[in-house]
Amino acid sequence: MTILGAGVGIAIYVAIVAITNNLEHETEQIINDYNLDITVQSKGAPSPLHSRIKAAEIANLQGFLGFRVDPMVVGGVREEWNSYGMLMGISVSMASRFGLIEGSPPTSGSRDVMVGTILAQKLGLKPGDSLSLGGGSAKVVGIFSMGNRLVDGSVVADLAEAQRLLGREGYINIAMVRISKKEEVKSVVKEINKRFPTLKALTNADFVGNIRLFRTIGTFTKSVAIISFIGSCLVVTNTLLMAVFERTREVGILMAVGWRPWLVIRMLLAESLTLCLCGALAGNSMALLILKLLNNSEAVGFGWIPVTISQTTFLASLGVTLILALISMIWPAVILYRLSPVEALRHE
Amino acid sequence: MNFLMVDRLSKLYPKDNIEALKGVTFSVSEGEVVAVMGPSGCGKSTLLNMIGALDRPTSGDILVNGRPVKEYGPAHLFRARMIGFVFQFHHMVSGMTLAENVAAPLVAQGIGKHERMKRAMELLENVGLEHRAHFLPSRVSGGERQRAAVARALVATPKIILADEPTGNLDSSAGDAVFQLMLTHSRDKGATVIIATHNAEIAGLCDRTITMRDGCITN
Repeated sequence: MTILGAGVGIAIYVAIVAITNNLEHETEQIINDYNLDITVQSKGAPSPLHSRIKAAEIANLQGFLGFRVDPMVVGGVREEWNSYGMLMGISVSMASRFGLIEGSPPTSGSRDVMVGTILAQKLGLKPGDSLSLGGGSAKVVGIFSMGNRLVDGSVVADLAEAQRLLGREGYINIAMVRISKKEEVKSVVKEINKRFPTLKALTNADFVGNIRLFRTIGTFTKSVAIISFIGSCLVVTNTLLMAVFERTREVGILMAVGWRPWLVIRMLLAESLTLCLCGALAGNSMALLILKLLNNSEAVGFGWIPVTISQTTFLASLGVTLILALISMIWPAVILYRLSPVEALRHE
Repeated sequence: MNFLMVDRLSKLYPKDNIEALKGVTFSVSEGEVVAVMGPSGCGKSTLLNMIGALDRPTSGDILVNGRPVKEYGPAHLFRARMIGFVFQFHHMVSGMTLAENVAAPLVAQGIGKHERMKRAMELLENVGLEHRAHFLPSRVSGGERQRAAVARALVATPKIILADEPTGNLDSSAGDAVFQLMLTHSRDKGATVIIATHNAEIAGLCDRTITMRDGCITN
């Protein structure tokens, strides 16, 4: 029961950390995959999904930069095949950056779409099939793979069509900029932020860290992790206290034959570490199961939930386990240290 | 020369205001086997606990080889090197096999596992329990457990063996076997044995008997 109790705490921690880290990592990967230098969103937007940049602002930005920027509109669509489907609208010039594996990209002004491999596999789609979208039906003309679960579970349409489907005519979410001279990236960011008070330009490296939504999720994750950690500590401490109480006389025997308190504490520490390590392994297995269930849950939508646990997250959970074992030992260790052999031997 | 000297030993339990020992004085020679007799609550166990450094006296001294016990270093080290305990109810650690229980005093002395198990097996063979070495205490009889407890008390070749009612929970034949094991060890290794007992037969086989009443020695 203790292993299960500690395991549940660790499973919650691992699952939440895996989801949030994956979300941040995949967002970062999208930016890197598109080979972008600067992203521009509206100032104060907590995430790219909440950003609103007017067409006029884009035109002014392009006028200032002297070259074309790539606009993108992105939003959620509620369809019968996915309650939280992601739709991205891009210009034709950007379509070449999607790893097309079958068919062709949607042409400018068309109502066609291309879909990611995860979505295609889930719905059994191939080029030529149709997909219900925005109350109508869209023709699937291509299938792409970016190696990114977030993107590979989404639908990509021409910018104008996506704006229509998302009800964002005249707006985009983010503008993406590529600079030929990489050493000028920081100065260009600085200049955009100075000249366009309603916009927020960020370098690639700063993009994910500046998404307020991720910071909020990060704080929430830490809070849940701390609560589950405290819960696990209480479960393990309680078990160790019970072990000390039930074996007080045996501890007295060991003291009578010459064991110093530290030797007895070490024995209990080994027990605590074994319990917590088993809890960590059980927790990671449970977390994997939770992630797989969430990924298949229609209520959550598919594609964006990771179905693996990164090595870093696994190692972090082992680190947390070690701390858990040590903290859980403190109270029982104090009791053991203060125990007199005679009192221990008399314990019933 | 007196190997063990108990000098005006007193023990007061202030919480219950009970004076368990009242200026107890006696001495024991090396290799001597002494029985301590007296009614329940007369202070026999308290006396053994004091000699074995399981508890501290309120006043008085215990000298071993002419040196006060406190000069032997921390109490656990004194117990590990000098004392072998045998309790009435065998007191085995339930999660350890008989061999591990017997080897436990050697852990306290920092002896390696291989050597510990070798010595534990020798002792178990001496008490006729080699075939039970890897059994948990719950899987052997009370007599076998007590023989294993004697083996544990002897494994570190202690200079003093303290036995608190070692045969009190056994039938007469098992009790005799346990007593003979301690007696043989004392004769072979020159260990001093102090046995708290109600059994007059056992006491009769000892070199000397000390009788206690109300925390005092009466003879």
